[in-house]
Amino acid sequence: MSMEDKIIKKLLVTSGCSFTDSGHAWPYQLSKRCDFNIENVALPSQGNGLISRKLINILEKYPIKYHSDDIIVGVMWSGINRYERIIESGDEYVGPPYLTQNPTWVVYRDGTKGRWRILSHEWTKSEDCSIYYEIFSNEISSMVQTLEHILRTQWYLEFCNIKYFMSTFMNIFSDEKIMNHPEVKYLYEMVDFSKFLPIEGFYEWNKENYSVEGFDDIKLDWHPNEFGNIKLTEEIIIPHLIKNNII
Amino acid sequence: MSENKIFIVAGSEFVNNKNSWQHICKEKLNYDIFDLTKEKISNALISRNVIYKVNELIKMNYKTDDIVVGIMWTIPMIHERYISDGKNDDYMGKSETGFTSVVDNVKNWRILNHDSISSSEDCELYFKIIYNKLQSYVLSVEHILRTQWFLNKLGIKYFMTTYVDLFYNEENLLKMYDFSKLTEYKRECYRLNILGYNEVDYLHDMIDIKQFLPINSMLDWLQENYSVDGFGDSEKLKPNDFGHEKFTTEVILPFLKNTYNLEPTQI
Repeated sequence: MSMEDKIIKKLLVTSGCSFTDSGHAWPYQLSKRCDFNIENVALPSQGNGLISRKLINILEKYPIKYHSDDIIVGVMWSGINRYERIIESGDEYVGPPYLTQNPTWVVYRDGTKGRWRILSHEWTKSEDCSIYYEIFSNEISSMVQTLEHILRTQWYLEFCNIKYFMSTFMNIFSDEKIMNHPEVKYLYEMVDFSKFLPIEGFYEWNKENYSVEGFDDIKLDWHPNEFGNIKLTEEIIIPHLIKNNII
Repeated sequence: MSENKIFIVAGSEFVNNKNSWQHICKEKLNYDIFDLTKEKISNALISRNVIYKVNELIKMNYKTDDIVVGIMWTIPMIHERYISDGKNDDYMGKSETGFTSVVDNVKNWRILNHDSISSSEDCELYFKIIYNKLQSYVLSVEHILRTQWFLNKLGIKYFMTTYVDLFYNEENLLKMYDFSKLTEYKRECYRLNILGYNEVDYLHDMIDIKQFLPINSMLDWLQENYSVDGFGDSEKLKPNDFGHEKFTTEVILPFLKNTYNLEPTQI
């Protein structure tokens, strides 16, 4: 395909965690159905800081220049209790076997394996993880950080006049005690939820509508399978994009 | 609601004095002031304080056109952690002044300062295990950008500056003499050659430099222009009242006049 052909197509840029990363995930279903070029910077287990940073970096540094009218962004935010830290070279790999990149990169195609180490509350064997989750992490500061990542991304996309939609892998805003906390509430109220898909979270939507066909085995793996991703794309994402004049 | 116009000020170092620049500005402009400056707070908390206060004023039906915001960012090596039970927390330890607020009068944010690593167990662990200098810069620029996009979106008049020049740039090597006034420890702490780090330079490029005062930093400007009369200490690091007065009348007010056509009413 020639460069001209590529630029005629719109560019779909997506970011998220494992719910957005796999080869059958919704970004690929959407790009196939709408004939978009696609760049997907999702990675399993990454938190909302990396989801936001990778998205903004690729939009700033993408080698082919697209007009903002020809870019569509989709973000599926992840769990609030995932964190990351920049490490010096030589630190050992931490995490489960399915995580292919840890540390991971933020800067698009900078030729390195990356400086950012994903920390998860599920892998507290390493000293930094253990100390971070034992002492520094709590639900209020985690939600403040997540909302600041969402707002930074929202305001950046508005500033660049880029059309976008957002959603969450699960309903991360369900705890009323957290959401009504004064440190959180004023941030939450600034999020533009008209840009969010009209569902609570991908997991909840899939479970409510396709609890059997939408998962390979919900007892073993709560990630939606290919069928669930196709259904989300066809029944929720595309209608939302049409309704909001994005496509 | 006050009929007066509002000057919201946030920052950290050498700004919480009744004769410091924000109070001189307030008098010259004849604005009401919300002074959110606090000693030794982080850029995250500076940003949160500004966004929270502006948001509150808008909810109270203040007009965005009647608000001016001035921010003096601090060094990126100051961090914070949220502690739900505030002063009763065991980690509070020795630092009585270590807590501050974002939401009015709720002091739940504890400062983690690189200058006081041994002040408490949590601070020591943070800087030994979690902290990274490059990441501190990433976070600081993200706080600057979030604040910038928030203020731009609302159409609020604002200016930003820094107390020390945070972004050492090899192209500015000739200006290094300014740093000779700092101790070696602080020089190493403060400086980051942004050209060497892809993680920061794309963020730095997005900063709207037109909203920054046309100086490298307050400290640089004073050392360059009033190195004898502008400081109250022999190290020439802490501006005195004269330094604040000069900084206000020769840098801030001309910027507000040139950028927003705001005229001082009392000179």
